[in-house]
Amino acid sequence: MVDGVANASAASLLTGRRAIVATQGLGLGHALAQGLARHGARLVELAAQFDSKADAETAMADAAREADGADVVVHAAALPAALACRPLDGLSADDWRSAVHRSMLATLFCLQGAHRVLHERGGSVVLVGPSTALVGAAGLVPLLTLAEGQRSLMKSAARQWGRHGMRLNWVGVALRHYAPLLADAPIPPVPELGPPPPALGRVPEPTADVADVIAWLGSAGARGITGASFNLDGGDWMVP
Amino acid sequence: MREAKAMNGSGLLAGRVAFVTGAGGGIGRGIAQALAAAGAAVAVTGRRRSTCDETVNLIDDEGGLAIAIEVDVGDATMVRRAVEATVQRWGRLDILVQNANAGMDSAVPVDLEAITEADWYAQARVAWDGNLHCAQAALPHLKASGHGRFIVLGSAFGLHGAAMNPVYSALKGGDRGFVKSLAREWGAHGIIVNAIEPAAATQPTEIFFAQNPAVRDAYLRMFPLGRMGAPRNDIGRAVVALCSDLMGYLSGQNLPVDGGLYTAL
Repeated sequence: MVDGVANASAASLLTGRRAIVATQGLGLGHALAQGLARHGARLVELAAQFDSKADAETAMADAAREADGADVVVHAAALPAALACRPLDGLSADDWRSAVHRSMLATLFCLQGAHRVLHERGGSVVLVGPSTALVGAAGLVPLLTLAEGQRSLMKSAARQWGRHGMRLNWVGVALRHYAPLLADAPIPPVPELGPPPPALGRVPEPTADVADVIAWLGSAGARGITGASFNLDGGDWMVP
Repeated sequence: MREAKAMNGSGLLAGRVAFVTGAGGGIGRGIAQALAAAGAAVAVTGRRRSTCDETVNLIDDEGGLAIAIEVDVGDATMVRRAVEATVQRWGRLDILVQNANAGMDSAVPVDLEAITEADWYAQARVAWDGNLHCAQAALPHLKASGHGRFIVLGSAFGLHGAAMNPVYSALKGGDRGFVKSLAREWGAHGIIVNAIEPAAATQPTEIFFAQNPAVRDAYLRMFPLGRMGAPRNDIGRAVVALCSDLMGYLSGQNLPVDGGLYTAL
């Protein structure tokens, strides 16, 4: 069995390339950054939340200067109010605003910042979200409204910025990796009565499996792919 | 509140009570008319009372039952009061159709890099906040109904992520996550939650096409059925079907109602 983490050939995917990982404080970001560094990328991690377009553009420009350029931007955003499992009927207006609007604006601003540093030479932008967004889950209406909104915004950006050589894609990861706080959330099980899913027998890990796919999306091998969604659930729901 | 005078005692939705947002024109008006024609009593709601009155008049002319209520779905208090007024008038609420939207009144492409926070909220307070406010206000009544239906009007823009209007596309994409999750959350209450993604010719569409006939011809060629839908007969009737007992086992779905335009799901 080939170990995806130790695969020597994968280590060259981002050699000489510069990656900015902006995940707004989600712990997932550091794991992905470690994985991309293993692929030879020069890394800058941005943990701060983007509250405005100016914030994001400044942070991205500074990061690009630090890395001597930018080729790959990895982004995820979900403020703490989005990372709670609770019924919609008891949700306050403030929590709704923070969970969906402020988180969504953080993504909008991040994309605008990415455009600032990538639009002249092109590059890869990967949005990371919870794979549960593709099937929905009780108690997670705000988070999964946000996640599907982010995925659609990615597609709009892919359509607008393709002419600049910018490619944008979405990668779905297990909810427990996206937000460990939600590890015990009652996500719906796939209605499969045969061998228990996921088909691969394990849930893909961020540092290894997910970072490998993001690295590949940032490599020349993925030059024909944009606007796509990659659900890295190990073969669980097998949705489009 | 203005009320039409008669009652339609037969039809798929006889005895049911519906609340339709954005029903002062376009697709919302078509849905309200179709629901009333199917026998439902309909609360016709919208930001402009005058256009809601016009919809009520149209329903009245056909012998249907409707009231007009001025509601801004971005205002939680207005939504709650309107829902309560509806229940007070007819004793129940079975159907809520969240059709209200903002942001599709411009045919000019919007550059994503130029979108501001104000641009976001101008549309999002109607679409996403409207979903929240309608859901929270309707829940106790839909639970009590035994036939509870919550329908969100999505858009193909949210499926394919249109370049034309990124904010609208993101909001309509978010509607998909909202509906799938709410259907799972409310299933235990016996409430059915779905979205439809309509393609219908409305007044702004017709104006745009009249000014851009080449665009119209190219767009219409994309429809396997060769035409855009009619708000009442194509979209409204689809909503009637979703709200009827004929579709009592369909939930959590996002259904394009678009003449075969979108087949990529």
